[in-house]
Order: sequence, then structure tokens, then C-alpha cells
Amino acid sequence: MNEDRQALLHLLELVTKEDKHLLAVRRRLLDDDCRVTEERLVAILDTDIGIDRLESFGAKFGRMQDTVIDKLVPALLRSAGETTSAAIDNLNRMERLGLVRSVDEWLQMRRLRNRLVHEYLDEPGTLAPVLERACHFTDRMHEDFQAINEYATTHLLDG
Amino acid sequence: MPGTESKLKHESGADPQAQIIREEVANVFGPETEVRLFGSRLDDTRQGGDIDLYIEAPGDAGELLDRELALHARLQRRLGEQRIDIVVHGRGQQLRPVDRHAQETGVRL
Repeated sequence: MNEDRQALLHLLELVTKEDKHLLAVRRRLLDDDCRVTEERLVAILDTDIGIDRLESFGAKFGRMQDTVIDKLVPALLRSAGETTSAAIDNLNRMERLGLVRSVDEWLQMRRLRNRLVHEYLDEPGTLAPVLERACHFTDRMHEDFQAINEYATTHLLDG
Repeated sequence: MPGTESKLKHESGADPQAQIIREEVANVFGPETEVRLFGSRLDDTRQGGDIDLYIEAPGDAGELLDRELALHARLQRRLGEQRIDIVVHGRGQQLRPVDRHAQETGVRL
């Protein structure tokens, strides 16, 4: 197996773990119910374990994005014999290949991640919708990664 | 409009980046929306720096967040990989220190 394929395989394994851990912390934090009202968030922030889970969710939400956008996508494009470029151009190519559903959504996720990490915990009214959308985008990230994983396994790593 | 021109980018008097920002703010927040540039891009002695934008608009926190995310994605696509930060102040909401700072120091685009 050549170097590009080895790197791709390693990254697919890494993101599989990140995806699993992100979904798991989301379940612990929100019980997979993405409706986050201000009252619900205040209740989460009222306990140390709630605060820890929220911070863990934000960190994992950001980490998976970083790995996918900065590492996995370039590795996949290289393995497919394509040249790689700036992150937005790479994402555009992935969208054309049908491997991410929407570049805009990935750009929105990136923005959301910054909001999630930097939002003040003492402004639950502002943070609640940020968390709610991050919860939904976690599904999208999961689905897009499934598509990427399947494509890579079938077309790039087979044989 | 003299005096209200931005110093977003030094390469051109027509300031294509400011034009793009105005267009996309109008697309996402509506044509009457004012947008201000504040922060490091206003500093003539510094090249580049983040693009810090300030927008005041009506709506609840969820609506404003969706618009902010949409605007950010559109600007990132059209302006390329540079740091863009958008502060949205919900009209009628209490002013945060960052809102006050942007209102006092920002330049209308």
C-alpha cells in the first residue's frame, strides 16, 4: 500500500473514533434531543458534570471538523489523484463528488464551533441556539463522514 | 460618500471587498441593514488583520444566529480564507461591551 493510501486509512480510523466519541458525548449531554431552550441550558450549566460535558462536546465537535477538513479531505483527494488546495476549494470538490452534501454547511459548522467554544457561559440565551444547531450539525457531520468512509473504502482502498 | 469610505483593503479605491460585504449583508439580513467595520482592519498602519463586522438587526437569538452563520459562509466563499468575525446585536437587546466598542469605533461600509 502506498503512502497516500496508508495516510488515508489511518485518518479514516481516526475520524471513526472521533465520530463515535462525539456522538457519545452528545448523548450524555443532550440525550440526543437537540431542542435546547434557555431553561434547559441553565439546568445543564447548573452542574459541574453538565459544564464538563458541554466543554467536551464543543472540543470534540471542533476536533472532528479539523481532522476532516484539514487532514482527511486532502488525503482523500490525493489518493484519488487530485491536487489539493485551500480548504474551501477542497470542500467544493468534495461537494461535486457527492461526498459532502453542502460546503456551506461545513463553513457554518466551522463558525458555529468558534461560537460554541468562545460563547460566554453567563449568556445562556445566546448559547442555547448555538448548542441546538451544533447538535443538529453533528448528525450532518456523521452522515457526510459515512459517505466519505464508504467511498474511500470502496473506491480508493479496495484491492 | 467621503468620510464613510472603509479602509477594508488598501489595494483599490473601489474596495471590492466592501462591496461584497454590503451585497451579502443585504442578501442575508435585508437591504436596509447597516454594517460597520471595526477592529484591526481600520488601523492604517497594519496590513491585513481580521475583518470584524458589526450588524444590528431585529430577531430572536436563534434567527440572528442562523443569519450570522449564513452570512459568514457566504463571505468565506467570496472573500476566501481570511479571518472574518461577525458581531450581531439583536435590536432592543442590552448592549454588550463589544457592541458599544463597535458602535463607537466602527466605520459604516
